[in-house]
Amino acid sequence: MELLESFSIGFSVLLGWKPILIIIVGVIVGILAGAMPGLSPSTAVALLVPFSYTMSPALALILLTSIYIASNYGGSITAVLINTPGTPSAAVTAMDGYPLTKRGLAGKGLGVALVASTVGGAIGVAILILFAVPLARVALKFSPADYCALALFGLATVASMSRGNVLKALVAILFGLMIKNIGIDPISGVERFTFGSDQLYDGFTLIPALIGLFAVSVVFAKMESWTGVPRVMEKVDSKLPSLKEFMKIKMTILRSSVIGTIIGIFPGAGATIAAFISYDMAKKASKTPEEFGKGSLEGVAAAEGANSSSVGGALVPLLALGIPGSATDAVLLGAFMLHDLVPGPLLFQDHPDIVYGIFSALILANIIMLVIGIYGNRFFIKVVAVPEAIMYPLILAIAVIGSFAVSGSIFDVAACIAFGIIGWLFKRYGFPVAPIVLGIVLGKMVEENFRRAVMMDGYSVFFTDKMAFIVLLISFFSFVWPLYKSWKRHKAEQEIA
Amino acid sequence: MNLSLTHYNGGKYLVQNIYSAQGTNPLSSVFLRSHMQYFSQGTGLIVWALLLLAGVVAIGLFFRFTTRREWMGQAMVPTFLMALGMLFFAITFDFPGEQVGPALIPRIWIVSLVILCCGLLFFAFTGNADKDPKAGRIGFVLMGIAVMIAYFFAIQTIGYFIGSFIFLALMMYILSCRKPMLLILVPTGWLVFSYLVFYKLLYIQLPLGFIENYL
Repeated sequence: MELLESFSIGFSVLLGWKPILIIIVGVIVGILAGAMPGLSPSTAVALLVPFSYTMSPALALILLTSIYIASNYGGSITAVLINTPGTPSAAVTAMDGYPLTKRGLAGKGLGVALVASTVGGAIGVAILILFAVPLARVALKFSPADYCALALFGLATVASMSRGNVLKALVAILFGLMIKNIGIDPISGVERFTFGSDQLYDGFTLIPALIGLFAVSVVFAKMESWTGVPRVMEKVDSKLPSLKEFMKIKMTILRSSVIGTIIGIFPGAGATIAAFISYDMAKKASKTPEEFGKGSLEGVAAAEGANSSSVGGALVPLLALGIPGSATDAVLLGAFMLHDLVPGPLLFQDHPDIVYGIFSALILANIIMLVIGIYGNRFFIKVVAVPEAIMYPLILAIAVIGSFAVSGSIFDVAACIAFGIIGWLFKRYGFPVAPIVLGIVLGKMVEENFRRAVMMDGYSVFFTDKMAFIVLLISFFSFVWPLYKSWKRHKAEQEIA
Repeated sequence: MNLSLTHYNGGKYLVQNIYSAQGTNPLSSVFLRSHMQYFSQGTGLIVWALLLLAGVVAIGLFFRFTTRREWMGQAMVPTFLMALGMLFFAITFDFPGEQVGPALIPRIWIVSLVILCCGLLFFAFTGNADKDPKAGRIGFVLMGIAVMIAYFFAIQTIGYFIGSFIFLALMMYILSCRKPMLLILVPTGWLVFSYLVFYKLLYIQLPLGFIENYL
């Protein structure tokens, strides 16, 4: 009953032409951004946060979450058509999507990707609502030690789930945590690492740092590998799967949606890991595993169902606990802060219209995405085919104006450029960038709650508080275990050599 | 209680030793604080920064001119991060010395960062790290960075609109767009869009530069 009442508040936020228009714009922009190779959902959301500045918080978050959910589908367009994933998670879609194109079935590939994304997104939202609401109620009873432990767990899983060098992911997290310490100490009011600069009293503004790390660094990286060869894409309409084809893949979509949502809940896991695991499980469960990699509709469905449903999963820790489940969530957290909102259990109490407005908007965004996806592919393909020589300078221009717009400060533009250079160098030498963002975003939560917990109950609270102790233990093992596995693998390789 | 007065090149630091044994124990925080406080601000901080920079350059030269050249980038990133961390560590000695004060958490992050960076540096030194990626068009990237920095200054002097027009046209030209119509139309379109959306709709006061004096 309470849920129905809350939903009525949520849906009332969508009444009127403005919210619907915003969702439509968000879905179109999200699909376009997702389709453009090199632009991840986090980049798209980061670039568009400044546009939402003068909107009401509810409409701003509806816009950004619509972009988020649509961009995961958008990545499949270029993945299927030209074997160039628009988003990292679409790399799995390309494994079966592109072979479909080579067989002349590109429309079918796009259609299956669209249907799987829509169903996956819907299941992800349903699980989000089922998990987030009770979790937020439980979280109201968490102590500062519990919050500190959860934030550390979030950081530990980000490091352990990063593909590549775990040590480098940890270094990236610690760099982000160190950067977050710049500015006024939130508890004692002491200036830290400001070097006497007024501009650094509040530390680096989050959104320009995010834009620099996610968008500007991508452009620099593309410039380094610049060939100037234009993309050529076939203009194709989506062809929805027939009823018979849909019945064959329905269990795959259902399974991958549930897997994607659950994996998405873990901070750092994200859409890419969800897509890979779901694909792998679909192949094992399939009656025709030999078709995987050669144009299997099940393969496309598994990948897309998982990467779209992971959006709902990733929003669970963000909305209920204030802990971002993915890099895009970290950007959304920045958007919340920009509108003076703090995601977490109190958001459900104090701003149910925003929380349930987001839930309602996500449901509607999935439906709108299906309609736009069916009829809009020719338009998307035309836009995505814009030469990179035009697209990248425009991205930089958006990055500059977006950074400036947040607080009207030219210093933020300098910070954006500086973080862009840092992001490019980090990526170049194998250091992931998303953990830096999570370090910046979670640093305050870790420090404030740690110091509060110790001031109230001493250091022993992390052993006496059962939940904090268990979560810290899990965090410890979650990053030690990959280090140990990596060391064993390295030893085995050395022995073979 | 023992009191000791320590002199450093004209500066005087009063160090209060509550436990006289700890005052001479190099591992005690009191000992560390007494020696590091000079480097936490002013001349001492500059000296420390220069020492760290010398260390970074020395490691860079070592990797550049030995057989470990292929791991130079892999070494320089953690070296630079270590140097930054150690600079910040010195500054923490200028913070109030409460038990759970403003210095605690930064020090935990910095010490962890330095330890991990030492590990990465060790792997680079022993050749167990990945080699540096093949250099792409680095000059191209540096040109892009230079243009962006010039754009940053241009916004403040000649204003956002003129600066953005020149920036977009220049960047497109650098990225091999040679069609005059596009070089004019795209920046013009962007200016119209940013004027309507940011200036008019979102009320963002974009800098006008010297033009403001004539309006």
